[in-house]
Amino acid sequence: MGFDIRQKLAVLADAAKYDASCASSGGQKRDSRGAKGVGSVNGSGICHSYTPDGRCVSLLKILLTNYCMYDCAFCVNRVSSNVWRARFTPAEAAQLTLDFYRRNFIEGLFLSSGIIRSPDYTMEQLVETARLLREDHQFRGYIHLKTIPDADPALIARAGELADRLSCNIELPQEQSLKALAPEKRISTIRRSMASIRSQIDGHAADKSARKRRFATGQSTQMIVGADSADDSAILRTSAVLYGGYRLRRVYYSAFSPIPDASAALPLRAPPLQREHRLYQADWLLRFYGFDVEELTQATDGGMLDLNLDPKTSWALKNRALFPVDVNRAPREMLLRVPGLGVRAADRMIAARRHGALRLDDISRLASSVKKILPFITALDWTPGATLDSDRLMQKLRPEPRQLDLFSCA
Amino acid sequence: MRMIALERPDDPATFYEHAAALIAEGAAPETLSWSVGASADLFGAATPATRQKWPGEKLFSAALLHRTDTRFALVYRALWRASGDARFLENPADPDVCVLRRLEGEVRRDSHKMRAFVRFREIRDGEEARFVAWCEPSHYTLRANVDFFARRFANMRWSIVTPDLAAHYEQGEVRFAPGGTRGDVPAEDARDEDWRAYYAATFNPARLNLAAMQSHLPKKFWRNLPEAQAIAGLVRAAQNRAEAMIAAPPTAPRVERAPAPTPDAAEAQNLADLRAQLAACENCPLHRDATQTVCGAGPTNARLMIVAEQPGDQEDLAGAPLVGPAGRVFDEALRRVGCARDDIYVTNAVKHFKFTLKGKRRIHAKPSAGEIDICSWWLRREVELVRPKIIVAMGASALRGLTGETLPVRESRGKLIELAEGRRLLTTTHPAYLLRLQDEQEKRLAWRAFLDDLAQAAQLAA
Repeated sequence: MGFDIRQKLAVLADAAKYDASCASSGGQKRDSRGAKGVGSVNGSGICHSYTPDGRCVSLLKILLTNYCMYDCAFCVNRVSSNVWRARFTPAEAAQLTLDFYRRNFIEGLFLSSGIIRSPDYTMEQLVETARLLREDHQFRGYIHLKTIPDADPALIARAGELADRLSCNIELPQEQSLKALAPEKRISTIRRSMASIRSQIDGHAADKSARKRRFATGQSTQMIVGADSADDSAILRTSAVLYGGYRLRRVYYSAFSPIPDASAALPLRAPPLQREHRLYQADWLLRFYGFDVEELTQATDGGMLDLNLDPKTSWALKNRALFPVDVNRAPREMLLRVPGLGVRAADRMIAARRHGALRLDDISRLASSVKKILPFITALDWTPGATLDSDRLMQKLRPEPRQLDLFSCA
Repeated sequence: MRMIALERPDDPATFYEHAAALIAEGAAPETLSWSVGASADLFGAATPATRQKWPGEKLFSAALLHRTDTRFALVYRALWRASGDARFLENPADPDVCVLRRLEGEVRRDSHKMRAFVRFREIRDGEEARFVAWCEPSHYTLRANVDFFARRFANMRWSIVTPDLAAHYEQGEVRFAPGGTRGDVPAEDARDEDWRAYYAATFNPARLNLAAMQSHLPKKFWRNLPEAQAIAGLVRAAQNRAEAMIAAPPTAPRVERAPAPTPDAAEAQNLADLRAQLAACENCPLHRDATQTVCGAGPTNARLMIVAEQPGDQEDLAGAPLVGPAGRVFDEALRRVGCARDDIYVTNAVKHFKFTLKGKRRIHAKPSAGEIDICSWWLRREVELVRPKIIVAMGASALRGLTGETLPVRESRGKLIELAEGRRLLTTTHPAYLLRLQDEQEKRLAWRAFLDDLAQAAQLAA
């Protein structure tokens, strides 16, 4: 690999890094035995490294090119941005993926692109790269392709046959901000693209015949946080609508980050990382803890999540009448609402209480942190007494200031 | 105290064999002392019994790969207890289970880190390339992970060398050899520099968070990762790079764009134009959460027009009217009365899907009279452009959209209403109503009436 490729790689990876997704999980299981290529996917993804921003490196995340016709204000690659431009051929991108994969640097490829010539042409280039990997090199690793919403649906369908995951960024939580900041993009086109991908994924999942063609198993999207005036309630409502409508695996939240050569249309300040973190927590509550989006918006303070308190605790403090929860009797749905109690710990408690009533000792063996749970539960030898009604409970629950683990994924 | 010596530190199968024999003998856990690597004649167990399946084996087998000396005694005690009553294994709060779970978790993490952090270096091995890696796992995890690498790199020749054990793979076969040293594997690979370039470029200096990084990538791993050499420099430069980005003067967008012209719906002279205008409709808040406007579909000169309530989940995704479950009922009814859908213009009173979210599902919500009235403007334009002879209103919402009045379907059903320009309106039930009915008798009657209404409409249109 020459110096030239390395320079291009630096430019095209730098241009791709504002996409938060790095997941390599949820693909169809397969491996390279019986093929001539390399690669395997075994359900759960692997983070092969971590950069000093705490984010995982699972895939080779690059753009095929960072030339772009569009002028989206929040994007480092917009046409009006004065950054270095570069372009990989599909063959170069495929070869780089294989070279990195053979050394166990990555799980696969996350390929996106600036829009050049036309949406169809751009999509064809992405599809061609994936085709080279899958067909010519029989690559069995993970491929995530970005879909260009304006591209021909036939190209998107072809992308679905080659990739494990497709994604199409909603970019901003509100339609009016998209109109203002991304003049060439239209929310309706993005949504129609997601709808079409969902229908195809559903169709392939429902078709149990052995002859069915391989198809991507999921789609995801990303929303930029802090580039427009949308509050957390608006963001979470948009997420809930997207999860409900298009069965997304994930909505990624990306704190708007200062970029080299930023647009005058945007706030130049440090990225709101803590806000992003709270949104991820709230998103988890939506997906795994049975919370309705309206319950979460009611737990906000004028539309914004408390930066000092996790959203589940915020919700619990506003719904104290529902607590304490008896860990020996409460149904799973209610255990999941106890601040500090995760899905795994709740399930362990349910299994353990079949063997005898739970005491504090048992709970300390089952949950990772008992201190946070105590004000909200009763056990055989524990009641929280008046703490739950105390005005100082919120102060007690606020964590010591520390740098938070923003997110990890695989 | 009886000494039990195992030959290898990472061989759960042999351990189970000895454990089975010892339990059969009635050897209590407190009378045994376990070790690894002593010579075979110190071997204290009776003839290994035949291999049996143990409850909780997955947990035990992982815990047995932990580096702690107590692992054999811990697992043997659990097996001993389980030979009496194995139910404790299902109790996550049991103290023995808790300890084993902790060991299992540490081994699992160690395995995961091996899969993540092995870094192959390409060397020449005779004619062909071989990929070799040096790895220092905290526990005895190599043997258990060889299968993972063999599946992933089935067509490569590779070796993984650890201080305890080395694995060499070629064409589906794995050969194990004694452990080695770091010097057995080249320190650099031709692609390391590219990988570091990627690592540096994918890092966002504006988000520096070293604590988060180190929680996932503790320093003990750094010495075997080529990219870790770049960390110090990236961290040092990060603050300045982030500040420079914030301080740099922003660039103005290239073109000031005028807002797109708002379509004037009155100008639409054909259905294609109407459809284009409808796609941009923001007359009521329903457009905010729906995927798209669902315009009517069918021939411009259809003599029969069917009006349903609003798009549902499937219609919203597909952008076409009556294609979901109710649509299938409707199609079946058309087939029964001998009517081709291609000859009919099918549309809805409300053009956007209205729903409430229940968990991750979108549940149909009834459109309000206000929403129907706002949307009736579009419906009237469709009627004016298609000029059907007869219109069928399926359900109360359609009836409201066409008449502007809330009329009970029960009373209007099957009756003809004269409209302007000699057009006639027939009311029937919505096919979704037929799907909702529980009582079989009621359902049969409603289905019969629905078919009669459609047959009457088809006859009047002919």
